[in-house]
Amino acid sequence: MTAVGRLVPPGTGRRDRLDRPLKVLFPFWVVVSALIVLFPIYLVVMVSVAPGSALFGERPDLVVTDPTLDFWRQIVDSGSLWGPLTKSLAVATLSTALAIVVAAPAAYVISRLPSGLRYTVVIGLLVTRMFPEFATGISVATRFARLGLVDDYVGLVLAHLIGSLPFITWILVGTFETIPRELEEAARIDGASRFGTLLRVVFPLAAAGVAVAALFVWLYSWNEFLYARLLTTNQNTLPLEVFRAIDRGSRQQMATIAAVLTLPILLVVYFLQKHLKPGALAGAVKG
Amino acid sequence: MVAPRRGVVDRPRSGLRRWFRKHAFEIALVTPLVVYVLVLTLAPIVDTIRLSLSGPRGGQFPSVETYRDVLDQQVFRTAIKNTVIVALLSLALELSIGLAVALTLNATFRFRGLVRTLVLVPLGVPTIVSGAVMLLIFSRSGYLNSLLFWVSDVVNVVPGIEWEFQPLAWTVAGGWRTLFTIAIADMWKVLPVITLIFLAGLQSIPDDVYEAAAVDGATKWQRFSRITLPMLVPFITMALILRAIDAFRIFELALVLAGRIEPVLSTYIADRYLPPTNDPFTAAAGAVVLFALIMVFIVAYLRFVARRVETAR
Amino acid sequence: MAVIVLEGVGKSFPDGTVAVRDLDLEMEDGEFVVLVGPSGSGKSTVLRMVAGLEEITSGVIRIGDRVVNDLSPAERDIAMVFQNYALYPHMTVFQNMAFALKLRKVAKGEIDRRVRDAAELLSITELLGRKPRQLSGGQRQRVAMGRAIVREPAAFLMDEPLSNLDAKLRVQMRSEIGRLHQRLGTSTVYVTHDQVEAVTMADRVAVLRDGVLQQFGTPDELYEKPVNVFVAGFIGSPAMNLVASRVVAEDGRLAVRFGSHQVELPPAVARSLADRQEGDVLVGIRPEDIEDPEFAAFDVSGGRVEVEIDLVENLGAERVAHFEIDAPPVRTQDTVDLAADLEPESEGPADARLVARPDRVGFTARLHPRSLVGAGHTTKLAIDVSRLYLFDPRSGEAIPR
Repeated sequence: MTAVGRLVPPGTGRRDRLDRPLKVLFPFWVVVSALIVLFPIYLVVMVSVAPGSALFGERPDLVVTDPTLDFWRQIVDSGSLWGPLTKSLAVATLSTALAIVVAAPAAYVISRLPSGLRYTVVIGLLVTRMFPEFATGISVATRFARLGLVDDYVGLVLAHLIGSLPFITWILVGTFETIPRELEEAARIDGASRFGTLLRVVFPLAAAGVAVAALFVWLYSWNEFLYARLLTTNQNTLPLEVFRAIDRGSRQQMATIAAVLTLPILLVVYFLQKHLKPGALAGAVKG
Repeated sequence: MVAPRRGVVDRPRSGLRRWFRKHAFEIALVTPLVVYVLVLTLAPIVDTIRLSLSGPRGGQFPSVETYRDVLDQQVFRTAIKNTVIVALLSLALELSIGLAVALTLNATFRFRGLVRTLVLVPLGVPTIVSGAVMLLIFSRSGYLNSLLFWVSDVVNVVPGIEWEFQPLAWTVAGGWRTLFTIAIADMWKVLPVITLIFLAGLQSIPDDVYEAAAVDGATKWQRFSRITLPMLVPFITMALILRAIDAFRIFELALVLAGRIEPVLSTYIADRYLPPTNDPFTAAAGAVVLFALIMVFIVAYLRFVARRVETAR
Repeated sequence: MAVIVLEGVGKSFPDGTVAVRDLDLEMEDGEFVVLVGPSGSGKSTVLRMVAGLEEITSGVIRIGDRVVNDLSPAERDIAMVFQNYALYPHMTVFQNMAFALKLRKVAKGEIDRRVRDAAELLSITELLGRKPRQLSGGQRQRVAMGRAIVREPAAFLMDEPLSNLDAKLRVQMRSEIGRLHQRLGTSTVYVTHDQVEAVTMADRVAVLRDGVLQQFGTPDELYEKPVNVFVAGFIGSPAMNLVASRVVAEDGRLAVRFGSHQVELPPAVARSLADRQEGDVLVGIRPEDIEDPEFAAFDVSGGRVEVEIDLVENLGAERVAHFEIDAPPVRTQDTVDLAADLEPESEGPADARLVARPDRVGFTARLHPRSLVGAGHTTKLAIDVSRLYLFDPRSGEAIPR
């Protein structure tokens, strides 16, 4: 079998007029779309190692013949990367931990509600996603400025929770729903308290689901730009650093920081692959 | 909890209080989340609405003065127009291309697993980075122009064709070309999401339906248009609503690619709020308008389009 | 001494549905009590109320000498075996069994000893290191039992513990649970919808229907003296044949007539019908009380019916003959419920089976294995009239013999 498939699954219908063009065009279509998808990644890496001469003029080179690590070296040596990297890491990790601590117990309770009520709550969580970040952000930023939470880890962590809490709660409700209630009843008969049941039976069983949800939330915070922009005056996160490079840096600088920001995430997404369900994605990815 | 007074029967008398006592454990578990959502989501929204109604420099409340002001601004009207154009454009692109890619991945072919993984790649690219990349591609001395130069070279080898390619400034040109660039960038970024939603939809259609259609003599096209598409409607609705919410809010890509040349609502709001303008009042009004826009679109879609499709089936 | 006592226990839900109504039940120490009834009869609710998983709306439940209404499940000194076993998937078999003891801060050596003893008893010692997902259905069942046994509780509560096993394993586990009970002597409340399980395992059976206790007694009592048509039809397999009849007097002797058939009543039975002459009565006949006259071990002079045999199932040890009687079937709420329970999957109204032939009723008879009666034969079958069951046609209640 060649790389030709059935666009529409099985069927033994008569030969029809679409058969031939599909057969011919299909491989091209697959290859071209794969290339288009990959091209930007290639560009980031390529530009970050390109010597200056290759990038300018009306026709910048599509292939680098003499790669250089100058900009990687420069960015590492200058030390300007460590501040933003630390802040991004710290904020993403803290907000993820906090999101789990706040959302997991609540999600458990929601998952045990009668189905009608549970459905309403879940829809309500999704509705909060309809609000533009600015609708909360404007007020939050003015208040935080007064509270001295601008340029502060705590401020950004709290802001990121606005976006991540409804999402992680929603995912975890789904996780807890899969844990049979009989297990809790068994634990209660075995003598566990309500809290002990959660700690020793329910949460350990939800661990895998919690981990996946945590990764999504971590990604969200790591990539987040808008709240970071509103709540920062000089201590940048990595995405803000990329923006600064776009604004007034060189192409290589921009590409190098972008690569630093992107490459770890590509790894995460690679490992998350099999957990990428449309439902999870709906909340995980922002346009 | 209130301690029962001496002499009063220990059993709580009011139904509400009994309910609270019975569910104390659950209440304790949900309280942090509820408090958070109230304090840092709902209250800020109310606060933003209040800001937008506080008059141009704050002070008199309620007042629609701010709204009158922003609506008088040419740049605000442009921002609304651009937001709608970009949203509709990117939705149309994303849904059609996403469906095509999902159909492709639903077919069986060699390397399907690999292609599936590749299609997910943009998911791992932060939006701000995809903006940066698009800038590399679409700027005047960018890689798209470079590619087109190369194409024109190849084409010009053919005798009789003379095409002198002029580099185009895609992003800073303003107008449709810039908006189109934003939509393309957005499409690249969210293609994985749309594809996965549609793929889930396609996989929910049982094979025997196609087999029955094939036995009935339906052509490929008929099978697609009479079976696949109608059965995908719920998934299309889901993708459309999810994407519409995000498409109207588009910020990073528009900021990077269009800057002030073609403002959208989000960049307008940020521009008003941040220094040097520092005007939370008009920013708040802009945010409320943006929210209203999203609501109008979703309600309109659900009322007119979704219902019509539903009844047509 | 009574170990579990229910006094006027009731359960109703906020939406107004009543699951259990005014239930009195007293079970002796060491007794194996089975709660049986069709789905929706409230038997599981009763068990869960005893366990403390379900709140009691009214009445009192006592375990040992304590009122446990307001005690948590952990404080009630009971262990439970769940229908789907409810083993903790993230713990090994050993940890599953040790969990309750660990929560009670039992000394480590003692835990180890008890778990190993229980594992030995159930012959699952070699499974102690495994996780539940690595076990077969039967093994999981044993682990669930083991988890209850190590607790050494005042009572075991079992909620349809065998219903997830295949038929063969179910029979095997049934006898194994019986042996365990004899060995340990722990009081057990066992819920099932399977009357065969109920009568084979129980010291005493409580038959429930729509949240109301119908009868509580030994399997023999239920079989020999069912208090009403429901219990009569529910206990026994194949089910008791029931037919609407009329009491007639001939030459000073009483007989019952159904359709074109008439059987005489022996004096002992007739006495109980003395005041119902020329009245309606429901007659119940156990399949084993109808026999090929050639092999009948009872006095065949009293009742004979001539019938056309539809089908004979040869089971080796006996032959089950199916035939029809030209009399209206018994249609009380009891029999409608029974029909619904027998064929839960059948389409349409529950009593469709009864309505289908308003003038005929299906009978079964367990004939001697060497009987030559075959399908299509028209033959005379003998009825052991001394063992007829009689019920009031309006209330469905048994008329005492």
